[in-house]
Amino acid sequence: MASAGLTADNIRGFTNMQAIGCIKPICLTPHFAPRTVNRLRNKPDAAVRHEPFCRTADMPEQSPPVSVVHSKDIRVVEFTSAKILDEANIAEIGATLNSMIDEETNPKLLLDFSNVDHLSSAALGMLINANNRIKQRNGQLRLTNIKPQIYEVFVITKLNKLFRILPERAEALASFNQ
Amino acid sequence: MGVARSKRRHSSPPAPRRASRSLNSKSLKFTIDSDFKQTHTVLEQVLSDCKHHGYDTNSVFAIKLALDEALINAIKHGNKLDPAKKVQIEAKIDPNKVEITVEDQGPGFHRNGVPDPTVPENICKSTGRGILLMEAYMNEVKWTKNGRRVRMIKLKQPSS
Repeated sequence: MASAGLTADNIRGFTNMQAIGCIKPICLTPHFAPRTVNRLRNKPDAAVRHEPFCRTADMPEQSPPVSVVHSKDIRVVEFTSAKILDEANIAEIGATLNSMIDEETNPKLLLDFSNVDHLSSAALGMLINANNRIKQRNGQLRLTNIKPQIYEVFVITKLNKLFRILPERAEALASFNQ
Repeated sequence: MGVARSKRRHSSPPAPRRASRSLNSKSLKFTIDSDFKQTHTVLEQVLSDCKHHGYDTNSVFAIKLALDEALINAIKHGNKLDPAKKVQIEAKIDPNKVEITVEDQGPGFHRNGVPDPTVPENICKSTGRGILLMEAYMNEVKWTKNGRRVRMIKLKQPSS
């Protein structure tokens, strides 16, 4: 912000985050559409973990905004779209995250930004809501694979101090408390 | 969307409306409804022109972020999603700078009345970061008409 002397141009660092590319999932379980997650939110967790995502004729061709894999008791959520901008898209992602958070007593969520090239303040708001919800349930949230341009947004908004952000997925997975 | 409302189409489903370009200048002018979907074309055409004029990826990222925030503010907080209200956008793009104005038909606001989202008491609030990002990523941001109109300037970075 101009008044604070803080601009995107004078922020440096975090360049090591771009050094490593996309990391393969730890556990290749099926991906879930948000509606599948919503439908199954009251069922035992095991049912959610192993029900595959199958597209039906009435479902739109658009792919789900997130994919989910599991690593032990950690849900690894990867954004599938390069842009987290559209209001409807953000609302859908937020609802999906909320469903996953509400299913666990102590939710552990890792958000992988490998594919994300752009986001908006509304997307940041969605992440903050998820963080608040996780804290209410004594859970843990980590963010990883954030590209330098996107990380600047976190720095400008000082959300890099609110969220626990780690450069690589393996490091982020290891950072969860047991 | 377009310069003249009389040229607007009303087909169903709505066809993508093309923005009009002024013939005697390098400016793009749009009038859109209070509809987030209509911002896509504005962003695409403005950014396409920026790339055409040689703006680097960091500048395009900054302009995209700031313009997106300005459009969302105008539609959501300015016009409050009122379908009867419009948002007007003008983008003047030349090899040295990009100047964008966004004007809504809402009640306006006072910039100084917007709380700082970076202070500890506001950091966990989920809203209020759009203006911060616009001011961080553009070289100049100024509100007029009681906050209904914002003018943003991005200067081209000298190539190193």
